[in-house]
Amino acid sequence: MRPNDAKMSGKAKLIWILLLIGFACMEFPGVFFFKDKAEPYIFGFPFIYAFNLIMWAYMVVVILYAYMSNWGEPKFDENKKDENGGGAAE
Amino acid sequence: MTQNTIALCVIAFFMIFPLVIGFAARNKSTATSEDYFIQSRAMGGIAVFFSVAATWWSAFAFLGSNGYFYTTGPMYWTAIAWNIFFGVMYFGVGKKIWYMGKINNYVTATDFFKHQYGSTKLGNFVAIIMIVCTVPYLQIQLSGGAYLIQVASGEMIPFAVAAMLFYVVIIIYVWAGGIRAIAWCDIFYGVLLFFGMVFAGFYVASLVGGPAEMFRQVEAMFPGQTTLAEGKWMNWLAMFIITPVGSFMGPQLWARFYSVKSAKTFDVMPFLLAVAAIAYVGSMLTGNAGKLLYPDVTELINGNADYILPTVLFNYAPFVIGSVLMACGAAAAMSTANAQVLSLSTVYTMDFHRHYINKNLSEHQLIWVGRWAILIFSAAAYIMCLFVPGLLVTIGLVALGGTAQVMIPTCGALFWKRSTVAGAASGMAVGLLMQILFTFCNVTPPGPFASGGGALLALICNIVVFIIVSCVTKPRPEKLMNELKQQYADYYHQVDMY
Repeated sequence: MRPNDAKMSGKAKLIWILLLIGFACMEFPGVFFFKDKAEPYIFGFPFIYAFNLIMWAYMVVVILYAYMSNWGEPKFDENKKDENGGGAAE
Repeated sequence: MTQNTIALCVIAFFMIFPLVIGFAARNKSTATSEDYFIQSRAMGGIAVFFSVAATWWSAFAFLGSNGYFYTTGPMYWTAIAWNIFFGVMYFGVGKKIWYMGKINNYVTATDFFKHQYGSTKLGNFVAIIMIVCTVPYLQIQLSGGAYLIQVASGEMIPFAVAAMLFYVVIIIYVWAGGIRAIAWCDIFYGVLLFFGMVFAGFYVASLVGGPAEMFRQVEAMFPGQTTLAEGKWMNWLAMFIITPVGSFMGPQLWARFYSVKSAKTFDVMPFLLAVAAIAYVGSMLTGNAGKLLYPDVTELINGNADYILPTVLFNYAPFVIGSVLMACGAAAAMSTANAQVLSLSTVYTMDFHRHYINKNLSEHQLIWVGRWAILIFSAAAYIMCLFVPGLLVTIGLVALGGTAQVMIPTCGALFWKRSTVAGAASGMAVGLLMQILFTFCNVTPPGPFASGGGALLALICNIVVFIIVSCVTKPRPEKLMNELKQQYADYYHQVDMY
């Protein structure tokens, strides 16, 4: 129940879209497009294993970026907290 | 030192160490029910990460995953995605639940529903779902852990005694230290579990020439074992959704939302859990290498695919390594079972006993009711583990399918102003009814859902019914909605959050 004065930022939307793409890639190509393909082997792993490992690495990077950018939300401002005497953010 | 002595020493260490931690945790406790059940909402980030990871990864992950790779090839590889999904939910949903819990003093999931929907009946309905669906899941932890102790001891300790041992140790330290003891033990268990899974995988793969050689042999000996079976896409997709959602909605995870001290923990958890998901490479290697070593499932202990790792270790590994890895598996089971036992006790004590049996209990008495509830739920799970056999993953999926139904009204409360009590209750009722039909009445789900998608279909029907009924029934009272709107506005403006 997000209020109108706290709209999701563009960066937050981008993060969630990148995550959705990652999940879709991990779940759908494997079952629809290369479910019967063991080749090519990558790093010695059959394709479906290797593909999802690569997507795992992609997701870790996206989530790390999300964490570093406070999930796209305005960052908590310690100074403002002190000024307000409470926990409000910018 | 004889093998038997080594085995007993390893098992003794794994049994005694949690007890020491449990009693140390008791010394830190304050005599309040909130401290016993949710650590006074002051659990630090490291404890939260290990406690959530160890609770989320169970015997299902340590044993069941190997068995699934062994029998169905890459089907279980969807797990690497669902682990990431679980972490993302912990941030996207868990953080909101935590915030609402903090400002409204929720202790259980029931408190959340009672307040957010303004309905005691709905809260009680959720509590019943949680109890009924968590006991079978607890059962598979006891079964898995007991088998591992049995194997680690070189069959010196029979299954029933091993299960009893497992059960007694958990009861003692949970009884003594509550959730604080569990969280501290989970740091120990979590480390063991992660390294145990990875090491076991590479060790077992090394027996067949390493991962690359292993896959070449698997493909040569079992054509199709390295690809997904035809028509199994629904099973793959359903597991990706139901497993993390069902586990996420278990009462043990709700306690791990409320216990958290800082919002920052929720921000970083998806990253930590995503990195930890790599441990499933270990299970993948174990299952596939096991297929080469034991092509016929009847050669495995109990003829059960879940025991591929114990079978391989028992027959190929040096006894010390085998015993330690088995104990790591027992840690996986124990770290989930301990949380489930306490959360079941919390639900009973705080949601039922406190409201319907004795309303005038002191904080001290509440803790004692919780302790006796721990004993009773554990006994029920012990009896089930002796008399209700089955594949860990199969039983686990049935239980998770039930708790997954709670996700819909939870998200409804958090994200949709129009959600109503009638919508939440009818959606869950339909979802559970379908789950029962597909599981116990031999009804085959229609169309593509027939291939392992029953729980997913139940969840989809739950969503549809929830939305339709919510749209045509009376909205939640305006006074309640105004209060909630203010609280959600505070959440999005990060008031008193960091």
